[in-house]
Amino acid sequence: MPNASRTINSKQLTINKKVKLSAIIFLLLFSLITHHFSLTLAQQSPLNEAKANYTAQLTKYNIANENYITAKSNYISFQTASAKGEAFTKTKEYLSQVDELLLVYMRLVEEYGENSKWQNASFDKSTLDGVLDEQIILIEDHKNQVQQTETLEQLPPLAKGLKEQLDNSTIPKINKIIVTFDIAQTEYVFSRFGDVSQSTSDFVQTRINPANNTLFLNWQSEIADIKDKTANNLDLAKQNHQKIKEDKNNSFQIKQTNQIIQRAKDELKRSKNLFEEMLRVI
Amino acid sequence: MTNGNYQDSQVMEKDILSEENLPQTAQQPPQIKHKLAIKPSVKISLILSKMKNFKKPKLKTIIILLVAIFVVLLGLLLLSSRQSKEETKTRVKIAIASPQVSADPQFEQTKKEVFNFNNELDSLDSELNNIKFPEIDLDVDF
Repeated sequence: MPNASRTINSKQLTINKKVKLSAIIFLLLFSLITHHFSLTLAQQSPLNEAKANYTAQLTKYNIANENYITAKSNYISFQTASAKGEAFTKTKEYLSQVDELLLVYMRLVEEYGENSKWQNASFDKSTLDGVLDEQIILIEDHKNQVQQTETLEQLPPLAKGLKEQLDNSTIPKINKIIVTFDIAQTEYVFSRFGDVSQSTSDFVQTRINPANNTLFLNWQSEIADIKDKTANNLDLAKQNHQKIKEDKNNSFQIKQTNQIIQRAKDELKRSKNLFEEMLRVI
Repeated sequence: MTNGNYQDSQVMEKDILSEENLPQTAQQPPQIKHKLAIKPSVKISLILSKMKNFKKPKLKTIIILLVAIFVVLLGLLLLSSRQSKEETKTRVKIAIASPQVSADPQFEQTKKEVFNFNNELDSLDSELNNIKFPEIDLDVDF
């Protein structure tokens, strides 16, 4: 009987060892797989990273705004020293988050610029980068001033100063930069349209049947129409772009320019079906 | 003894005799049912006896977790293999649908250019219009 119990115990020990070993192996495999998936998900482009940062900062800004509003109403209601201290802390934190939001937003705009194609653009990207860098420096300077405040009374003038800077400089310049990106991107696609329509036309001419010649001629006239209308709209957009002010509210001019750019884009999009149609015929 | 009683007893005797003389095959079905009833209980009892060897509950939970992870991994692998099979099927269909294209490199080149251009056209629908300047409340006053 003791021998039987000994054999049972040894068997149990071997089973336990095997179970432990297999458990370790499976856990290792599982952790490797999940780690691999997490790495692949983490490898996002700078633009996507900038978008994610902006979204995250918006959340922080909203929370800080709520806290500031609560602290402000408490201070106004109770007028105690502790309420004032709390109002100062929350307002300072709020203005810090405002500065951070602006910085993150400008980095997002920068990334959109990096993502745009500038080969055929009528604008100098380095000039735009310079404008953005200048605005980033101004916001960072404001952020440092907020960090150095020690009393509640110091904060409202800083907020007012930032508001004036945004209204009269930052917002008009950033809005114009975004329109510039849009025009540059449309110009690039327009140049590609020219290349593709030429190569398609050259190819089709070598393969076209006499029966399809009329179709081909009509196709060519349609392509030429798209080219003319797109070019006209782009020229008009660039003329409007030059008139956009950078030192005051320019939302109406921005809207007008955007409408013209959209017309150019819509013309270009007409070519999508035309190219596919001609290749199907051949 | 009356005639009715005698006839009843004769019928009863016949029934008894017929039951005794039944072939063995006729007697098997209830045994088979009995065997079928036993088998699942035997399997469960075997599993239970094995589980009883693992006296520690931690071991049991670990085993259950491992089995669950293994099953999930298998399922994911099967799903991914099915998806890849479906994709390969669609690829095969496209190749079959246009056999002449593969023999014409110039056509392929033009088609590729048009495809790339169409992607660039789609990029015009960018999110530039959506990156508006954030609305910030700077009316800080006490």
